[in-house]
Amino acid sequence: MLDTVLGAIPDTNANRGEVMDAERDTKNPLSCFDGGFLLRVLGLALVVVALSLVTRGIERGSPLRLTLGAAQALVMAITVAYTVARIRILDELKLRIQLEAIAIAFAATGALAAGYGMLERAGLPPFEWSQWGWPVMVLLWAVGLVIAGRRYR
Amino acid sequence: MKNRVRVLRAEHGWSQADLGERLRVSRQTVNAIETGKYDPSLPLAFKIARLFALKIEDVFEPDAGRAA
Repeated sequence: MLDTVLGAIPDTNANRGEVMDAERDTKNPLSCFDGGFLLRVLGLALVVVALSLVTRGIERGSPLRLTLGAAQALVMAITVAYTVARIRILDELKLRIQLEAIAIAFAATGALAAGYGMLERAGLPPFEWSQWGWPVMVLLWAVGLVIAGRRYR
Repeated sequence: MKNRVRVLRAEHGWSQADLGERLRVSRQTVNAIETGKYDPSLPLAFKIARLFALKIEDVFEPDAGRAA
């Protein structure tokens, strides 16, 4: 029945293109957010890292260092607001994929932080979470999107 | 949950993108619903049924094992 009905659709080049587009869309779990969004978030994360590196050579407590610290916090706040705004416009399936991806990233980041904390106490060099925490979370979020998106291919 | 969305869409000659546009959801969502990998929310299920001028039970039916 289904094949009969579907067979009634003219097999034009345009239809083939639509089918290919649909397959591409379905197989790309990162399509929840377009590439532009991911690049902007990564760009913001790099700004935070760059500011963190810049502040290293500046005396603690100096007005310049405090200003740069406030700028880092502002960039983080912008990132959060931008991300929440983008998530709110998604449809219900993509919201579910995002929820699963964020849950995976949340748990994985916690496990990573706790695990590495134990290794630090065992002698490994300290990891600067204030500097690299966000990039790690974004990376784990992308991994979470791939994992969650696979369920709905 | 089983559904007849793919058949109904085909009868109307719509692509997944066309249906997604009418429902204001993505093609990925339409595809996941059609393949049974995602069960839509109640509001979306009603929206689908209304779009095809059918009752919700004419579009969606529970899996045999889950039927009440």
